[in-house]
Amino acid sequence: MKNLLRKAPLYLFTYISLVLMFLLTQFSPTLEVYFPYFGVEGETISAEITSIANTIEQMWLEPRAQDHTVIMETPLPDEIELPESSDKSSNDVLAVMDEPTPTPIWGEPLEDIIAATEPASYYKEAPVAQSYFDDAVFLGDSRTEGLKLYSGWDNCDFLSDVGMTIYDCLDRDIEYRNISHTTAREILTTNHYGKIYIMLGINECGSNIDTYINKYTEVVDQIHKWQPDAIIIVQSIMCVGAQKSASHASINNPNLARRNERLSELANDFYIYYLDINPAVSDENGNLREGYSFDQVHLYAKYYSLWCDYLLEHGFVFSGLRR
Amino acid sequence: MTFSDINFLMLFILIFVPIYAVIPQKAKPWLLLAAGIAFYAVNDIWVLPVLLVDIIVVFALGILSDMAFNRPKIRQTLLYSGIALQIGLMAASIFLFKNHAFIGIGFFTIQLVGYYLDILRSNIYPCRNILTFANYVLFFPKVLQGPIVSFADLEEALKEPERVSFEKLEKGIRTFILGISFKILIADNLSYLWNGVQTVGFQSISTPLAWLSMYSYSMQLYFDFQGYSLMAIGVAQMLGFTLPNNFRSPYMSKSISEFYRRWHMTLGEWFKNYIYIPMGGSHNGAFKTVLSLAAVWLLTGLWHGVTINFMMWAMTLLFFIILEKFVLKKLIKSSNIFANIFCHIYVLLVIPMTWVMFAISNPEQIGIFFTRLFGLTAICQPLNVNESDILSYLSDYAPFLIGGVACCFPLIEDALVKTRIMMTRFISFALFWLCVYMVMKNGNNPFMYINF
Repeated sequence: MKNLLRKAPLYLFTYISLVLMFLLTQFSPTLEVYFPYFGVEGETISAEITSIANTIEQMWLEPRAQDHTVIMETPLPDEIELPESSDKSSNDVLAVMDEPTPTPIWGEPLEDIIAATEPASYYKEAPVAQSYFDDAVFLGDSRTEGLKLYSGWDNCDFLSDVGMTIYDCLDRDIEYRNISHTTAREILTTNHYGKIYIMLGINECGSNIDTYINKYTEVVDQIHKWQPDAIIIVQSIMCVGAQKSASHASINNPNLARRNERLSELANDFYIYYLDINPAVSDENGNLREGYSFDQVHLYAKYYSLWCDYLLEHGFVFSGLRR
Repeated sequence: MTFSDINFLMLFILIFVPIYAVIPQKAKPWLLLAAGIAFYAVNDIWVLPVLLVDIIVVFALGILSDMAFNRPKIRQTLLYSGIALQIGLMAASIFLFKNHAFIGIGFFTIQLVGYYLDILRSNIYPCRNILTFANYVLFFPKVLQGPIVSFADLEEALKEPERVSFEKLEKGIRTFILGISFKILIADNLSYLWNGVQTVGFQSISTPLAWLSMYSYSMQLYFDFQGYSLMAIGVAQMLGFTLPNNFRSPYMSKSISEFYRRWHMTLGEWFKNYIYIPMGGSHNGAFKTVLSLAAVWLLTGLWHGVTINFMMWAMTLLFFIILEKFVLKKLIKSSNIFANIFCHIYVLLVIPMTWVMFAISNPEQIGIFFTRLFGLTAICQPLNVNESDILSYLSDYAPFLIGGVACCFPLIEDALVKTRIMMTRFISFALFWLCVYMVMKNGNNPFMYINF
């Protein structure tokens, strides 16, 4: 032993520290590690954590899981079920989850309801000029980041980051124009926008679809609260290449189509609109066209113009008021 | 399972090394064989039976050829058919079993063909101990990516393995840590840069980014392969075996020929011994020199892959090596400082450009890359180029690029492996844990390569 310490100290210390780490990971269930051969499977652990988080979220969302359209169609305040915010267990859960505001989304629906009964602005899909995007902002993941870098558009804003999901989109540390550290929350509460485009969902397409849609609803509502004058355009999640689609458990086009279907239901044709951008880039089978992408997920920079052109073709223009 | 896999680290350092060190000498070859089979099985269990049969066939042919020693015709037929069989197996693995990557097939083939040729030239006696022979082929430190070792160099060590010594254990783990650091901290991080450039598409990268990505890829390739080789050498060293070095600071070379004497050295040695010299080499006139060089590079290209880009890569190198042999000879040998500087610049321009051909399999895309490299907008119109793209790449990858450049000099390598002061051990220890942390972080992230 003494010899080992004298002649091979690095090996000895590496050995001891590896043993310590092994013990630590075996007896500390919260530590996320990846040991497929040692009984502790990293992926299982993170899957479990996600499912626990999902359950908690579900419990919280349950009392307010209402469709937008229901509210639109039933504008009487007393018909709307208000959630019990005094519920102790859900408050505890909230404390655990560290949510910033315990106000449920439908906690104060009056504003919406009044808005719905008032004459509403009405937008129609129509070709638009580049200046249409002067008051637009794009919220999204790496694909939106690509749009930012390769669209050549500099009259609109981009709140994007590689790996962004609907779950962290508002509070993720992002780069915005000359500010290197900020969040979408900060920008959306300071600036004033007319159109807010969102495309999120490829990173989290392995997560539960209901949780995803619920969170999406929550985010859209939050943004609407900050930007009551803006229309929110929910873009479909862009499809992936055929090879990827055939080989990946969750990043496949049938799954994305299911999600897009649900996203399209978010639209209330009032201040939320849905835009399916896949026709711009997909083939007849609903896959990203062959040769459009290196990794089957991101468009080559030169093909971002397809997306841009499609957005220009399908702007949402104010077309009068409706009752 | 590769050497940078956390499971390998745990199994090998915590369990295998101590057991291997304490068991009786006679049991060691058996344990090695078991480890070799297990290691291969974890990586590619479907091909393992083929490999085991192949080992028996080569072993049997060796013995048979020895029995027919006095009948040269039969002996030659046996050995040549063995070589043909071996190359046939490699061809089959490439063209027929496309779904099953026959892991390490290039390395097996080249070593077994070398074995046959050694017997044929009576450089060695055919192996008479199947255990030793199987251990030679399946020796797990070198099974996936080399280094390429001839049977003669490993035979003695495998027959009667050395006792594990503390000195070698320590040296082995230091070499290993240097290797894993090269691989995980430099190569893997730089690989995202090249990946990013490919995702953007070569037609849309700015000229500065084209240059940056070319150099980044050159370093990525070096640190990936050198890292792996060092890990292999380190693993073998911990068990008391000595494997040959595969790289000797190649980017410090003054000529392309020198570069390839310092890059993947064991492969270069193999081609020199078994192709170049037998074909005439450089001492039999200019024509034979060119012919032998052409054969070497044709085969080198084929060995790396049967796609057109590898042929382009090999032929470009052949061109420069011939040029050096007949035209630039004096300049390269000159000790003039300006000539020296010129030679270094020449190597650092030509080699990265050849790596572009190595990296991109589609010839048209290679062409597009070069038009961006030289800003030839007339030939290929760039599309949607973001002129400031280099800035974001630089800010993202600066630490790895700087680290990579620094490690191209032999200084850091020597300091971490050869010096005996405590300080470098602390650094090694810290690097080891940094690597483990990175591996665990990435292993835990199912989106390691696909974070959108």
